[in-house]
Amino acid sequence: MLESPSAARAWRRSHVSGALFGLTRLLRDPFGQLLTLGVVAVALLLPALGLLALERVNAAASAWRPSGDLTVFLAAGEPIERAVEVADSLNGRPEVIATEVRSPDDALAELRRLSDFAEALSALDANPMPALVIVRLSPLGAENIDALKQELASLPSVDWVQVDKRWLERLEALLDAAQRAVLLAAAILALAVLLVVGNTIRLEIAEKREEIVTLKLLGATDATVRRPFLYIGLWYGVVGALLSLLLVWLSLRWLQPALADLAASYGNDLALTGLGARGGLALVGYGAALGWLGALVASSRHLRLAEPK
Amino acid sequence: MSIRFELVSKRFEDREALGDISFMVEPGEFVFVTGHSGAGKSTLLKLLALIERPTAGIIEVFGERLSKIPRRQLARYRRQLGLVFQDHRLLMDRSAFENVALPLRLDGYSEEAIARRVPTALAQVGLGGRERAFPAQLSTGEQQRLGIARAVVAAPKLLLADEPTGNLDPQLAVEIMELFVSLKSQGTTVVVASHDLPLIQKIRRRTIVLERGRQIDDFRPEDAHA
Repeated sequence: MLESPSAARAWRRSHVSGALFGLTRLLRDPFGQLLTLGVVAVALLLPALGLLALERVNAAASAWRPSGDLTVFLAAGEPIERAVEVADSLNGRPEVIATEVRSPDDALAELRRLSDFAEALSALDANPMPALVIVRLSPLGAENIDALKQELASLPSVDWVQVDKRWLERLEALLDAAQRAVLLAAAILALAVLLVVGNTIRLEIAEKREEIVTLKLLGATDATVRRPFLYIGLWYGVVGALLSLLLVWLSLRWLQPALADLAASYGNDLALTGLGARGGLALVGYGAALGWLGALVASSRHLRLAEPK
Repeated sequence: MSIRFELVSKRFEDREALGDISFMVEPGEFVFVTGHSGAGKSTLLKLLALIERPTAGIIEVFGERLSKIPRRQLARYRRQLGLVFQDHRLLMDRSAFENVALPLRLDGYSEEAIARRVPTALAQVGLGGRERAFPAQLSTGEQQRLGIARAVVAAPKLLLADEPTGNLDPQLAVEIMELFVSLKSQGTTVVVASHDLPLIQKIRRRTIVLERGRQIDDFRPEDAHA
């Protein structure tokens, strides 16, 4: 007498054997699979490098922000002491990195130096320049620049506040455009992965057609028959992602000296730290999901054609 | 009732393979379906295995109308069957053991049960000790027997065998038929398509005769067993 069959055991078994089948299929002929693996690796490498570069540029942009994010012009006739008071009230706040006070005489001298009307300025009876405070903002200050401007402009001794954030807006727009371009490229490359993995699975199914038909005749469900092919796709994604991690590491090693020189010329240091453990895992998970999906699409279509006749 | 055919016809594009076939088979009964080549024997088995669907008529197996079984339920239905194919349909990259174990694995039997049942099934068809052989290392007759072992290993409710003794010598063919007959003890209904008249006469069981897709006889030898 046979013991009872178990659907759960059959399900577990088909997952284990499917996973092993997929892996051995890959290991049996790894060089034969290089084209598919290469496409998966490159398709993951380019967006990974792009996002990594954007992240670093974004971080570096904060550090490289030039001084003078806000210029606070005091009202005409306000003494230099008032400007010092404003600067003192700002120093120590988390939004502010540093302040610099310019007296009306300093401001006039700078205007003479930077403009072409030095002679005209000499003809003036009195110094028209107000005292001013140049405020260098921290990243927090840059985030809240409008609120800070409003606060300073409301002070009775302040005539107006000039915000110089156009460069920041341009940089943000540029980064946003670059991020969209990277995401678009990632989507196009993901489609390429789906097509390449799908085509590989299609060939696998064609090669195994007779076996598939036999399994169906013996009572294998569509899911059971499909499972080994899904695992082939998954392993393509995982191994391709591991390959792309290696390529990311090699790329960063190659890029690092040039970037370090560039950063040093701005008085900064820039270390490309790679994806890290979480990023690496995310990339492998992304690769696995793409491989699985490509196999799912291809197997759903082509397994229907492999019916007993 | 194991099987009920009621006015079943099957038409392919250019010809009628079966026309107005009607018969019933009791649970545990052994039935030969015979006739010349092209008589419709294989088509009849394909209808029972749901490889083909009838053009007209009703087929019921174990009280279930086959036309009502949707595609997604095919696997469940087929797991009740044991199928012996003319072309064996063995998986060439798996050992004899793994080939025979397939239906048990698909059903979810434990490894212990599989380890117990597979050698028994192989021994029943005279392939004891050949567990590790691959199909390519077996003769055509041995491959045939391997296919039979796979069909009987899970004690199916219905065994459908298409020319199962075509590659076997007469003595072995009789032994295989006796094995099929013995499946009655576990309640298996057996339908064997064969044109081997000497074998049919020797086994002496109910026989349905087809000719050009028509049922021309359905007889039970006087001294036949059920």
